[in-house]
Amino acid sequence: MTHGELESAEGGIAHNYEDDDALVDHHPGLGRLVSSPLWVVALGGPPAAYFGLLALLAIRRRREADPATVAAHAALHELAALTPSVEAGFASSLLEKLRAYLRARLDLPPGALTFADVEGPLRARGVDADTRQDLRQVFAVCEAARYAGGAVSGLTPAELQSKALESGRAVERTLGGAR
Amino acid sequence: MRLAVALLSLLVCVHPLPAALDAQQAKQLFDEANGAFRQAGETTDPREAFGLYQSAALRYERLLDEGGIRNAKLFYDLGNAYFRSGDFGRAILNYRRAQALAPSDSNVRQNLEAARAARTDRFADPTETRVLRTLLFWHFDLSFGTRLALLAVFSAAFWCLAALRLFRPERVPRPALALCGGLAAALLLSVAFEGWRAGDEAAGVIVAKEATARKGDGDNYEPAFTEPLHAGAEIRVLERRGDWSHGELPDGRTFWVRDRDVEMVREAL
Repeated sequence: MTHGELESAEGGIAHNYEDDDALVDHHPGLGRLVSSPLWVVALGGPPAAYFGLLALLAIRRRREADPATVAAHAALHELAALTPSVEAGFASSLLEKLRAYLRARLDLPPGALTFADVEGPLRARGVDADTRQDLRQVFAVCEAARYAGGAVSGLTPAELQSKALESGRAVERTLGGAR
Repeated sequence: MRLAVALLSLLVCVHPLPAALDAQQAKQLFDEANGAFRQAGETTDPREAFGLYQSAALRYERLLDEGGIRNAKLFYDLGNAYFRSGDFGRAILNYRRAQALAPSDSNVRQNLEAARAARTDRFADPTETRVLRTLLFWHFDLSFGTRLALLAVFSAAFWCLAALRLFRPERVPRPALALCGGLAAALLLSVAFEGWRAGDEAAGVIVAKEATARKGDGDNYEPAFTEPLHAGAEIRVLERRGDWSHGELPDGRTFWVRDRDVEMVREAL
């Protein structure tokens, strides 16, 4: 008896399949090429991850290219997130968010804004009279509340927030696409 | 008219139309077929073994016909039963069907090669095929599973390098990216071609023991070759005319054979 490497015999056929899986109906097509979900992940995962990364980078680059829009959106988002309240600070917080939004959107220098400061630029950029009127009212109510110790008059805190938000969104619809 | 109806009723009673098998009947038939196949492998009497393989094949066929099951393993088992009973034509036909449903199954590939080696007819590859075999060696020499694995590796490498290039373009040399991308593309094409070929509508197999290939679609035409075609010859059917099929051999020669001598790979899928 000689000792050596065991060689595989050529020819002949392999065993039958006897598992019940043989009774499951299959359909032909390219989908059958990849029979296991593992293959789908192995083949589809890397390109999906690449394009996901590409999309994230594109979003980041867009933000970096237009910081004013990002700041305007963030201010509007913060304005929407405020909880309406009868407490003294609510009206001034709301006014501060609205000012931050308008400052970012109109590229105005930092500092306290009054409605008079923004009315001209808003008109010049095509914001309609109704929206300007709503903004004027929000500014007036918030500023009056400051002198009245925080009490909001004429509107409920929820109505005031809703009006501020609607005005901000109307401005955004006009100016957001114009950049 | 009454006579015709009566005859038809009688015919239906004697040969009831095949009813679809339920899951339990299918399982029982499958177990019977596997039992016959195993028993055939254990007997020392060749005639008994032949009968048992035939019996197994009949049951697998019933599962396909009456059960309506289209499964690579079932076609493969049927191919094995035909292979063992010496019917290499139907063995190749059913391995090809199994391959169309499961191109990555290495057992199907192995048994198909064994059946091809056992058939009578041999055809030389045309010159262009030999050139292609040399140029596209990875397609012809590597198994489907290996190509799929390599595709996953090179594709992952390509996309990782491409992602890295988004952040550090100077760290990823273009040739490395191009090499991985090129290899992944070549392997993808190879795998896709395999899928397309497995689904080739025109693929057929000679199932008659001998089939006289003729120059035209009638018995009055002269034979196309000095020998008849034998079971297992793989052809492409270019056209069907009446009871005749216009076929093409792998070496490019064309001929006509009777329809009954050929079965299409895709017909049962």
